[in-house]
Amino acid sequence: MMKRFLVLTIICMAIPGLAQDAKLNLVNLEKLTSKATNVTDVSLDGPMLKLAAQAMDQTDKEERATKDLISNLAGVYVKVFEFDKDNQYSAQDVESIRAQLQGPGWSRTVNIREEKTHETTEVYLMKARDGDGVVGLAVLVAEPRELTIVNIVGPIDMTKLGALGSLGVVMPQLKKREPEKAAPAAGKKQEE
Amino acid sequence: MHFSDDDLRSALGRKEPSADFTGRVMASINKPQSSEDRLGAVPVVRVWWRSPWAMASALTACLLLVIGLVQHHQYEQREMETKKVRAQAVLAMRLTSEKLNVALRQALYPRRSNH
Repeated sequence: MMKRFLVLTIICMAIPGLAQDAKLNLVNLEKLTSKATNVTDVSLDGPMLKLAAQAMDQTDKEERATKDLISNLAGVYVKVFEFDKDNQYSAQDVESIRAQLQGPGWSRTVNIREEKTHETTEVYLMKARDGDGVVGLAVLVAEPRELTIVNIVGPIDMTKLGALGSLGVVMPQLKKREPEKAAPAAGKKQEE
Repeated sequence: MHFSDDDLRSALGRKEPSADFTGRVMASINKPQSSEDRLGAVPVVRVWWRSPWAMASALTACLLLVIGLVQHHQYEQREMETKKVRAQAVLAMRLTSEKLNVALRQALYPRRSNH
């Protein structure tokens, strides 16, 4: 009886660890708030996103598109820290996020390093277990005076997400042109 | 009709009260008053708000008003919260799309990108 209980307890404790969780822990970036001149912090979990989706104005094009995107999401977390001086955040701050993105399920889709401007742009995707679809997205943009972290949790329609901006159908193009992207450009290091 | 001086004099002349006059007056004063006499003497003002029904109605109205105000306040708070959440969601998606598009533009068209 005791053994069964012990086994059951161990299984229950192991299940959350096995589950793919696309949510990043951004708590360690809170300390940057005091240094930043401007902070944009959006933290919306599933119920909040559903509330937002219900409240969207159907006549507004952008809000309609946003509603389509967020309706099935489990979380949207965006942090943008803007500084008035260079190097207000440390490499460790970025590394703490990057380390989480090395975890199981995540794969780096875009990695751009600009030598001149010291900018780093990384896009990570977490694909669904069945390999069909994306269940997590992380964008990490590190500039000398700005640090941006975007984390989206839940099934994401990349085409719709891109459609919100200017390059509507960029994602399918990216998939088709994957081999070309391996070639590094002048002044930039790119990884795929 | 004509009055003579004698008639006027007798009419306006002093008359002594009867012997039992004082006794009758004192008896009238000492006589206990009936309730009808009292009501007739002092009119009772019926104050409508002192009635139990009026008090209950007023209390109910006050209670409903308070509940209404609380609910209105809660509704306004929910509306504000919803608006805030909606704005945050739009902002988040806009930022995500912008950053993603910039990254993808750089990845796709590295030579043309001036970023």
